[in-house]
Order: sequence, then structure tokens, then C-alpha cells
Amino acid sequence: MKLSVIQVQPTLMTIPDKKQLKLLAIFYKSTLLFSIACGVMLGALNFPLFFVAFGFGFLSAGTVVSLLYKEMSKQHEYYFYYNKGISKQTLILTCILTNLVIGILLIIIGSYAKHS
Amino acid sequence: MQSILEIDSVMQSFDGRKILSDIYLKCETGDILGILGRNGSGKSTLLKILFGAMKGDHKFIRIDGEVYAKPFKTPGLVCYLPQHSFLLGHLSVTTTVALYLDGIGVDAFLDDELLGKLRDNKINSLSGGESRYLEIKLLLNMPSKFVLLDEPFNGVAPVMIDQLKAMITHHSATKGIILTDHDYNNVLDVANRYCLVYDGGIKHIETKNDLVRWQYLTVNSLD
Repeated sequence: MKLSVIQVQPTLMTIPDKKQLKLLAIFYKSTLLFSIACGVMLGALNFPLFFVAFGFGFLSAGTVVSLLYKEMSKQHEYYFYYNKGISKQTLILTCILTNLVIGILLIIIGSYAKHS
Repeated sequence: MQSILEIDSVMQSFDGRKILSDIYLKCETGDILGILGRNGSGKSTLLKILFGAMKGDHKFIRIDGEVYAKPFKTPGLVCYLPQHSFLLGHLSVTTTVALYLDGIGVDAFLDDELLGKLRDNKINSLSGGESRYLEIKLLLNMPSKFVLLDEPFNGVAPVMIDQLKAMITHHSATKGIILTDHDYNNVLDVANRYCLVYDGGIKHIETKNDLVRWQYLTVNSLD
């Protein structure tokens, strides 16, 4: 009896093309409101260190709250991206990484401004 | 080119209750496969597993001889219309069409009695029926081999249902289409193959009497 090997097509994250980048930007923009709101709230509570606290709130609570909001009330919109070959994993990672970069930059700028 | 989609050994349980057990389905280019079933029978779950948005306890999906765990991740294979609108409310109709069709043939797409009037409207200003019409037309015009439509006629006016049926039939020449709907008359009307999800399994349907046999219809509803 001849046995054949079944090869499953890989489902790992692939580098998005230009069209997918446009869609990722749309998804990211839709999460910004909550990220900024969390940043502003934390910044206002720690006013002398506004930028540092804003950056921290933006990358931590902001990311969590915006993604939770998507998960709880806009879950059906994920299909908009699925139909263009973009997985939830890619969308969430894009949001986390972008917020991380922006948040860290704001913390560095805030720390530098405070010390100078 | 003729394409073949097969899904086999689908198992899905929720809280210990078996919804789908050992399902096998096959769809080829030219097929309009109508899936019927009572509420909660697992029709939508089956389509989500087939699309790759839901993992399933077990599944085996093969398209043109290649095995996929999540078919949606490979462009040009499968697209899916979920029960609830998936379009982004803040985008305009024209922007949505341009994004979905990669900017190709947008004007031709919108040269339509209904969509022509709505091209500058935001998605969230469309009625449920208009939004559904746009979604189905978009998915049918995407370059995918298979289209999965979960309740495409839900909330759509009868005159628009006829247009959608004609559109589905037209696109079936180059695609395989799988659809479900609660209005079985619409499914029986547009599909050319039928099956019923019953007790976690698939029953192939040849005549309306089979629907009575599997307790989907009553004898009275055949009149």
C-alpha cells in the first residue's frame, strides 16, 4: 500500500503587501481613540510627567482597552479583514507593536524634556 | 478552471454538546450548494470552520488538492459573508469598493441602479438590505474560487432578493458557492445542490420529501 504525505499549507504570519498595509492602517486608526483617551487620562493624573504618563497609558491600558472594545462590540468587523487575507493575529500584533513604538518614543521624549 | 473544495471529518462541540460530527462536504466550480437546517443546527459554525475563522475540534479542508488549516489566509481561495454586516461603518461605499476590489473596476461595479445612488454615502447610513446587497456583490466580484454566504437574503426586500439570486447564479459559472438561509424557498430556488444539517451530520437532499423525512418541513408545508 502506498501512503502519501499530506502537506498542510502554512498559516504563519506573512509580510503584508501594500494593499494589506492600507487595511492594517484602517484597523489601527480605528483603535486610536481609546489609546489616546487612556494616554490623556493617565497623563492628566500625572501632569508634571504628562508625556511619560501619556506614553505609558497609550501603550498599556490604551492598547488593552481598544482591543477589548473591538472584541466585545465590533467582532463582526474582523471579517472585513479576513476576506482580504488578514488574520486577527496580524491585526492585534500590528496594534500592539505600533502602540509600543509610539508609546516608548513618547516616554523617551518626555523623559528627555524633563531632564533638559 | 474547475476547482474543488472538500471539507471532511469536521467535529465541533460546545459545552460537551456535539454540534457537528464527521461532516463531509464537496463543492465544485458551478455548484450552488444550499445548506438547510434548523436554528442552532450548526450551519453557520460549519461555514466559519470552512472559511478558517473558527478552528473546530477537528477538520480537514482541501482545495484543489492542497490542504489548508485557514483557507482565508491564502488570497483568492475563499471569502465569507457572515450573518451580521462586516463592512466598516465609517467608510464610504466608494472607498469600501476600491479597497475590496484593489481599485480595479470600481466605476463598473458602482454602475448599478442601487449602488450608483449610494456611492458617496457612508456604510453606516445604508439600510440593512442595501448593506447586504453591497456585501454580496463585493464578495461575488472578488477573485476567489469559493464564496460562502451565511443568510444572504436576511433583511433584504423581495425585489432585491431576485437580483441577488440572479447575481449568484451568474457568478456560479466561475465559482463554487455555498449558502444557507432560513427561508428554505429561496435556497431551493437558487441552489442546484442541497443538503441538510441534521443531528450533527449532513443529509443529502434530492426532493422536498427528504426535508419532511428529516423533520425540517412538515407534510402540510409541501402544499
